[in-house]
Amino acid sequence: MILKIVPSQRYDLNSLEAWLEELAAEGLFPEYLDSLIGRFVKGAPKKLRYSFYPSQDPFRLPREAPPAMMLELFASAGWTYALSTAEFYFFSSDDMDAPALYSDEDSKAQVLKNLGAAQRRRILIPVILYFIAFSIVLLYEHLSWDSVFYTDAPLRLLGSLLCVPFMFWLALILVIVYEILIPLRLRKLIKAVENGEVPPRRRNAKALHTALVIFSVVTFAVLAIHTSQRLDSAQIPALSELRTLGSSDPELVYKREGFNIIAPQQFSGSLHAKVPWLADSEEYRLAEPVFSPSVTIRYYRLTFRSLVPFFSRYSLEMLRLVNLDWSYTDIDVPGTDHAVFAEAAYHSDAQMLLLTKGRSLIVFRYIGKEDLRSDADIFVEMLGLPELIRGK
Amino acid sequence: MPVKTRGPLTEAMFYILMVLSRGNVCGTEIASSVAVITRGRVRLGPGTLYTLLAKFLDEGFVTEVGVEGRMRTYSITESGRAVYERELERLRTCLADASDAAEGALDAILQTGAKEACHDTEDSPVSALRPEFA
Repeated sequence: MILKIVPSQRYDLNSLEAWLEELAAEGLFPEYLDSLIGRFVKGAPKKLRYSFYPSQDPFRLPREAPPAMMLELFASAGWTYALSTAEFYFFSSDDMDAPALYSDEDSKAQVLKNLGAAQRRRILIPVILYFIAFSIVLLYEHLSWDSVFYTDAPLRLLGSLLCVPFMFWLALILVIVYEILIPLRLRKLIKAVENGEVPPRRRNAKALHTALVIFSVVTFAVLAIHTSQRLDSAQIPALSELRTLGSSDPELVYKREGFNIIAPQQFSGSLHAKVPWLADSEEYRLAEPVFSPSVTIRYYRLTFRSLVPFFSRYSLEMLRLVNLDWSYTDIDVPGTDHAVFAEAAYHSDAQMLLLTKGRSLIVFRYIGKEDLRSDADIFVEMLGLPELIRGK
Repeated sequence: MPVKTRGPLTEAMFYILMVLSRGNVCGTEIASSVAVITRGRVRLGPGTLYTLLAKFLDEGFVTEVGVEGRMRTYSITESGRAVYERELERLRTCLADASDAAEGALDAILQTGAKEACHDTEDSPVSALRPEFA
């Protein structure tokens, strides 16, 4: 297996075909190809021609082989299917007299236009859905959080992922790349094909691709290291303290799930207890079920400090809307910029404590007999969580 | 069945419909027949043929009538035949016009018509193209 950096830009297909032909003459045949990198297998050198046909369903995973009708027509003209990329099928032919795939520029331009339309359909819908979901979860963050009690992990994970500013910026980059840059380049190619011109080439494409590959590998490695960190209670003193919080029988009801860094800017963790309306064990089916303590912690380190008051305020307001019978009190907690305590009127066991300091925001949701305020000094320590993590 | 309106066919489209109007054929036969009919002048690339066949299938001008192994056979529909015949008529008219023009039969009409057009307005497109008519 041999990896090679693609030396031409995304839609410089003439150069890409010529490059594949050069490699075939050296005995290298593509197994996998994307816009940055290609994977090749070694074989006997061959004189081959390569040509492309746009995929019917671009960006689909896994990449699919061409439809049977296309395979039949192409094979009858001497062209064999070689591989699929995200947007193209590549065909090769060892017959130098085989007719070119396109006998006129109109049809070539037409298939590229079809690709552009398919791209728009393929990309736009997920992007719109992403932003709708992002907005809903951001605005109704605590609503989604509350749903955790009823629906379990998937929604919480979705909420966690979508609420992170890091993910927002990533989505924004994807929108710019896939909605603006890529269609723009494709339009240039279509215009060049319609005018019978050779599309302009970018001379430094290989250097750019090399830089992007290095950047991607480093970023992936950094993220992999960060996301693989699992912290246990021994590494975070405050978490050890929390484990005993209000537990009438911690051995029975607590199930520790660990404390995962799910993205560079956000941490979440929970000390789960079975709550009566979810419980399946017999003790919870009593006429007056035992109400087991549960703590969930959400920690945000926001990109912009100025967002903290807004974010905390909004979190509270949304919670107020959802839980109309909760009461909210500003409390004075040393070591914080702002602290709010909330409790449910209908059930004195449900509480929330929100603490902010600098760019950090931490929200505790607790169901149990203890008063969260009495442990506020322990929680303040968690506002320095990144420092604790770095110092472990 | 109402005939779909569309602009003039491209050369490749025209020849594909021409071959299909003669009977049911598979894709390979379409390409080879076009090459024979045009004495090798038009060689349909498989990409072009696939694109146009898929387009015709989508527009209802062609239908798939059989699959034998990997070979698919296609047939022209009524609307496809109507489109082909309309294009044929258009091309016949073009040819007749060209033939008349070559024989000089249109010279008098053309010059009179152009002059009239030039008298109507100084910005006439004919005037712009052929100033000597003004």
